[in-house]
Amino acid sequence: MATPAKLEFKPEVTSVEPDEHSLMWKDTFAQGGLYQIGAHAHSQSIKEQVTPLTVGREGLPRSATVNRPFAAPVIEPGKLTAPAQGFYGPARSQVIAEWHGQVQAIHDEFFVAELRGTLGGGVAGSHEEAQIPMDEVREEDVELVREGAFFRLCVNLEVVNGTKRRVTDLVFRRMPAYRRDELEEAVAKASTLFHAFRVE
Amino acid sequence: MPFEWSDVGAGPALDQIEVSVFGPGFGECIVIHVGGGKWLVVDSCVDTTDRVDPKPVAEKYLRSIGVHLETQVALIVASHWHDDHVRGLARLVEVCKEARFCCSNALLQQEFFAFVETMSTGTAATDGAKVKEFRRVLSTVAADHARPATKYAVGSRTLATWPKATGALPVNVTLRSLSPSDKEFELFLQRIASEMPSHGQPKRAAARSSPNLASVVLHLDFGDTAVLLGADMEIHNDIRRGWTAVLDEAKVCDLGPASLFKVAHHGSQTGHHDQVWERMLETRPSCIVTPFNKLPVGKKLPTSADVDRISLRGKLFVTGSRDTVGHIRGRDNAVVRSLKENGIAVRDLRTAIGLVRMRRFVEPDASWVAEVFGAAHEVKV
Repeated sequence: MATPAKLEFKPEVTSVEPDEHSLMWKDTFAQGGLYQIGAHAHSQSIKEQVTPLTVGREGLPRSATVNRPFAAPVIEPGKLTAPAQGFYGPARSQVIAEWHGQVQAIHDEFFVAELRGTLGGGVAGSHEEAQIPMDEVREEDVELVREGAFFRLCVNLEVVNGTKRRVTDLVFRRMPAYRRDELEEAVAKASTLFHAFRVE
Repeated sequence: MPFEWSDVGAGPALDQIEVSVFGPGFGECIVIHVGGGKWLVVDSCVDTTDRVDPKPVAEKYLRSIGVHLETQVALIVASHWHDDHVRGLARLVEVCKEARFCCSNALLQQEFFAFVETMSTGTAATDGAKVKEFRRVLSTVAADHARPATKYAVGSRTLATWPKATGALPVNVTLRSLSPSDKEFELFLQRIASEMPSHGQPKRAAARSSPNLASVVLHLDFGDTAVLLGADMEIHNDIRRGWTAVLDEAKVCDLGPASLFKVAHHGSQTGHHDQVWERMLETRPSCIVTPFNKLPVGKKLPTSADVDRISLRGKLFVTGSRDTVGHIRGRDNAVVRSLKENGIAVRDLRTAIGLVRMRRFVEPDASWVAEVFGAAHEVKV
């Protein structure tokens, strides 16, 4: 067997069969916070996801075809999963509904959150309360589930190899820490406001 | 019956008192005519069923009956700092340019200002509705030098008077605050200090729970009668806190019993104190409850037991239904199925808005005339 080498994604090889250990992590910054988007059951760090793909050129899956997109990971029915996006992404993925949520209360098996619909027919502008099973929170995100924590809930419609499927995506926001300078600035602003305020 | 703003008709006569209570299921707002075309507003909520024009209900109502908000609203009171009492408050303060603002003394301390600013820092601000609203209110009031100075509310304090010589009513009208107590003031600031973020701590939203006990209970005296607005006040076994402290303040002020009661804390058992009914209210007063539907089924307020308990003591009106407006139209079936498959249960928090309007003249034998609009209803015993 040839020495394993990193798989290079050149135009001639753009797809292989699904690999449970492949995919997917995508870190993205939004509104100053770090979102970690990942498959519920398949989340790996970005380094971890690349490493398992080191296969010998001769070891490329026989089913790999030219000009076909990389397939998404196996989706566990009934589990929240990430959309197959990023540079291994499918041909098409569309967000059909999106809410911004905030954790209100935490129970043993579920948490309660307030949802504000931001995108989608019958969703945008909605104000709802959701009960979300703790099982659906990725292991890495469990520590983020606290009262007041922010998250994004999306339903994506993906088309993979001509097959449509719905993928629900729960993304907890990793909030940045307070910086000393911004705290000092806030306190100074508050002091100015306080002294400008007339009370009797 | 759906609420229609055009149904509310004309405003009260100049010598007629009006107390209108709105409660869309999450939130409440009280609009009061104190005679002579002068109004005061206590708390604010928005019409959540109206996605096109979600303005504060007080603004919509007063405009619909021909009130000039810019000059006729004399006072805006924030009873406490909870989402269900402050939505739309900032806009209301901005629109009512001559209105004096009033809130608990605890919310006018530098520590609280710092807390509000801190929650709003940087690009990842974690200010929720209540922080945003209050920050905007504080900024608006501070920048407006023509506006009367803000009035702070504590136990036994006269907030405003409308003397009979200057008004249309044949009596002096006096608005007093009966809370928060000194103990509650102290505890509120301790809580703010403990929640104040520190360097290196991850950002998160302000805690949902801040004490109802710090809310401002109001007593509005019309000479022959009075109105008691219970805010979200609850009972506590410490005599320096909750309704027990309020009862002490009422005793000091020698207040007359009220014939109209905005029942405290959405009619909950924890907002009930027998002595309030015995000492601060007339026999069988008119009572108005605003529902709170942001609780699991069976716990939504008022519960059936709450309704029974209050109905035994007074003539009860509820401003809305505990039920939501129902299924959201136009939602993609794929979205509904997807949530269901993942075990995510969602429910609409919007409820149909309702208004209970009470009017009466200030005469010895006068009584309140009630009207209900939208989802509001009288509870028949």
